[in-house]
Amino acid sequence: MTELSREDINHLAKLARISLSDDDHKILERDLPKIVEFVDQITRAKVDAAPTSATTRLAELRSDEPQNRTLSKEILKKTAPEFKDGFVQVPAVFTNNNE
Amino acid sequence: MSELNAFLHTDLKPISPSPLDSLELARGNRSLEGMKVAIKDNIAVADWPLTAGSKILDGYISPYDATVITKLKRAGATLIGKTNLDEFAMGSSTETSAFGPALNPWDNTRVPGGSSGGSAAAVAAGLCDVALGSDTAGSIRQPAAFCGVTGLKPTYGSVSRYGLVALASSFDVIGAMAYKAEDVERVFAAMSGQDEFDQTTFSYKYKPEGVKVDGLKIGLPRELWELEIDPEIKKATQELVKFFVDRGAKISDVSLPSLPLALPAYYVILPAEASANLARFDGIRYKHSEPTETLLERYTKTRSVGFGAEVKRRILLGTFALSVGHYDAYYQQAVNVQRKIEQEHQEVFEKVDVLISPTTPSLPFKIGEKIDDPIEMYKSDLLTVGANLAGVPAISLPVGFSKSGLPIGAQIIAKRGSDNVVLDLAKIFQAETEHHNRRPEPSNHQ
Repeated sequence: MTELSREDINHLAKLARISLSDDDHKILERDLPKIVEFVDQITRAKVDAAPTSATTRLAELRSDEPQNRTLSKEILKKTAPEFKDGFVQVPAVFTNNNE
Repeated sequence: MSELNAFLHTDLKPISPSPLDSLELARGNRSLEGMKVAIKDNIAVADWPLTAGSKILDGYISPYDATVITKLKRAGATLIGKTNLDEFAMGSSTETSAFGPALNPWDNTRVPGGSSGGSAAAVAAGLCDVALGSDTAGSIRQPAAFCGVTGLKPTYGSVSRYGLVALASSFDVIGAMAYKAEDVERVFAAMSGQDEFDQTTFSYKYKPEGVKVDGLKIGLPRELWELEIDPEIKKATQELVKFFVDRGAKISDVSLPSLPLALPAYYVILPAEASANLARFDGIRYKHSEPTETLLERYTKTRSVGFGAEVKRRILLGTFALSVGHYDAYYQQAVNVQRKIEQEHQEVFEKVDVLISPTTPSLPFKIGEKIDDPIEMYKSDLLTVGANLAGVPAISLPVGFSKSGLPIGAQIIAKRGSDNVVLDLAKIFQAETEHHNRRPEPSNHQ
């Protein structure tokens, strides 16, 4: 069975861009190993490799031409939390003390 | 109405066909004129809020209509509001909704099922004629069964997902719920069909099949009937089978050997897809945003505050399944299992026309009963998830009531594209039975 330590969970949270509170940790440390154990049964199942394309699920595709659709700035302005001078505003990407 | 917590954003003004639409309506079939439709709050309606049951979308207003909404409006439907759901449709009870659970109109102490629980409760309590839901593993059929209404999970790709908040894009499909299969059919007929904004849709035109029950071949999937199922549910489902047998249908036991692996495979593929789909909620693009110094902190803090426990669980699980060292053992293997299940369905439908099984293993459970045990909660979908992995249509319809007065649902499953077959069979059953005409006592929900 795959073990999931507190460190593993912290690593996953970092990859998923979520910071975890103590309460989150309590719940995740209780539940994640149980869920992984539950799904683990598929790793022992004998199934052939899937066909490379599941043709039954592929629909007819549209022609590969660019569709001329743009989102208006008015809409962006309404949906984004911060908007300035016609742009969506974000905090600093780089700081001096980056790790 | 508010006591059931079936609706979110209760101050919305209904959207009726406008004079501007009237020309279009005159040309159209106006098939839904006068119909009051409630919309699950993970489907975009222009100028209405959309939360997907999550705090992270609090304050967000949809800038556009989902394709299904455009089609409903064109057919003359009146949109009356948006219904409660599990956060991002992750749950089987509506208890993971950031806005509190919806209640089951048949018994206020019990869940209405989920994730389309608000939709099912609204229909059951007579607050709308039809409600839209979405089904990724049973999210239409399980709440339909719990609330005594009819719910269709259409063939994957027959209804556009454009404007539906993505959960697991390989399985998500929008469907309708109503007391009568006839109403479900009307809405499905109006909203299905190919859409250039969803490349997984295929050219599909609904037409009633005129299915004959005499000579119909019904398969009873051994792997589903052998599960631990409430005896009252089993018995009511057997009566549905008997109804068709009495009218000339033939039954046989059939086997889909990989079905027992459906739920575990689903709980690898779903979190994997969801973790990618939910990456867009980052504090930059949507309204909810935590004030921070740096960009990275903006992501992590907004997501930490905005997402609830179940969403965090599934995002981390998906991150796990997709990470180096686990990808082949979990994700690739789960996809192999899914394809195998799809193949087994194709084979079984060469032998039989439809499959019948109960919709849920248990009667509606108590609020709080399973919320701290994710695996038990996940098992609510044991009987329904197979149809999603196979991409086939399935309908849940009311087939009886327990001694305690709780609704029971059974499902009819058919091959891809045979939505008309399951709808026809539900209509035939409902023409001669009364289960879908029973209503909850208003005292249960007032």
